Amino acid sequence: MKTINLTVNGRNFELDVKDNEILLDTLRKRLNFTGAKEGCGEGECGACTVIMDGRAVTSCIILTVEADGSEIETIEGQSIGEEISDIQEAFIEENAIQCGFCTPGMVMSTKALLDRNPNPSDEDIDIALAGNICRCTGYYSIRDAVKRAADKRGGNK
Amino acid sequence: MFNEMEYFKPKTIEEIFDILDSNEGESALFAGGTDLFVEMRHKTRKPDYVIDVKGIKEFSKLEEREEGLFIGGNVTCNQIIESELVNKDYKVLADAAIEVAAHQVRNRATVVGNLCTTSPGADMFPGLLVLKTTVLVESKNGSREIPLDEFATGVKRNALKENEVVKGLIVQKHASDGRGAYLKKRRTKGADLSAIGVAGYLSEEEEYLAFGLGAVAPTPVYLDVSNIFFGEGSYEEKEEKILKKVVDNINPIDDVRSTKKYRIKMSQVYARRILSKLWEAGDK
Repeated sequence: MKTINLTVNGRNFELDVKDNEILLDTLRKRLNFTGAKEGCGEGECGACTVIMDGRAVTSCIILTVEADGSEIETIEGQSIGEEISDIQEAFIEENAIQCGFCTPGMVMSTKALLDRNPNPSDEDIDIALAGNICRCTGYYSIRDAVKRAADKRGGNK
Repeated sequence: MFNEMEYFKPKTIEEIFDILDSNEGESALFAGGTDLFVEMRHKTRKPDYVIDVKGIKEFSKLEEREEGLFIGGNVTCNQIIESELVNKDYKVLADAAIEVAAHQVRNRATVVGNLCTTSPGADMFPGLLVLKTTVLVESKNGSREIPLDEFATGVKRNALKENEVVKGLIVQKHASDGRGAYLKKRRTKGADLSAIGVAGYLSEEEEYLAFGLGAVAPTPVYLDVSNIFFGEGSYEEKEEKILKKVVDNINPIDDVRSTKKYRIKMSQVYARRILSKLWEAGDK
């Protein structure tokens, strides 16, 4: 067991964690941030994507102890009460959601992209989201949603 | 869920050896963990303890040194892609790094880790081979250097001995006219392991032309064809000799990602394309 400090969506948590505990499990099962999903469990599908210290990562292949001192952002931190973020709005407006399983990961990858590149090209978007697999909506509406989100944020002009 | 194990995060290289000395059972060193944790999920590896090297500052350096570019053990693929220094003088490495897995994994996966896993198709091998790279190894008994073309010894096997640690790499700096390219064939447009990966590097000033090929033999293949290319004959004659040498030096297999026949064919196609691209990019 190790004692770690973790900031999730701006809230600080002090936790005793087992050395083999996986970040995704800590977020979902202990802290109740169930937005990040377990898909493949091996970093291939992107459903578990969260932002760790500003970078999109797959939380299913990270130990919780590795995240000691880190700032984590999850989908839950993207809305305040009923008010959703510009990226979430863009996904709804472009119908870029069907079953919704991949969406939290898609939104977090989009946020990480737009935070560092407010004017992404189609290629930039494809590279940033290639690690997020969607099995129902198709990718064109998702790409359009990312562009719309960039517009809303004042980029892509 | 992973097996029960203990986690260590040393701050110095010496501490790594202390941890190795004072613990029993199987150890696993990791930086990004993107290979190790997948193997642990599959229960193909069950280390008793894992050593996270991300706390070692020296391992996080990416800088130009007198001998060339130093890539520390913690430097991730995305750091390579984003580095101005790499894009200026070692661009083939950025071209290769962007082919590793997908964006989220590249934020964790390291260049050194890619080499240490020693998959025959590891994307970072071909580009580092053509630039000529030295692997810097530390152990309790001191330091040693392994030329990268002697590092891989088999499928997922390498020249590291027990309790040796890779501190980083030194990539040779080449003449200012030098340029490289990396082409990767995969089954899907998105993230996938390579069916074949070919890197090339050409400098007229150094009279140097080399190819690095991945996923076409048990270990990545390095081919220095400078003698052919800077020898006698027309471009077409030299190209033919080079492509023959490529085929003579590879030994691909059939697997889920490609057939042997297709790999042989594509090795030639990619070598030809790279050669023509590099040749046309020069001042003639």
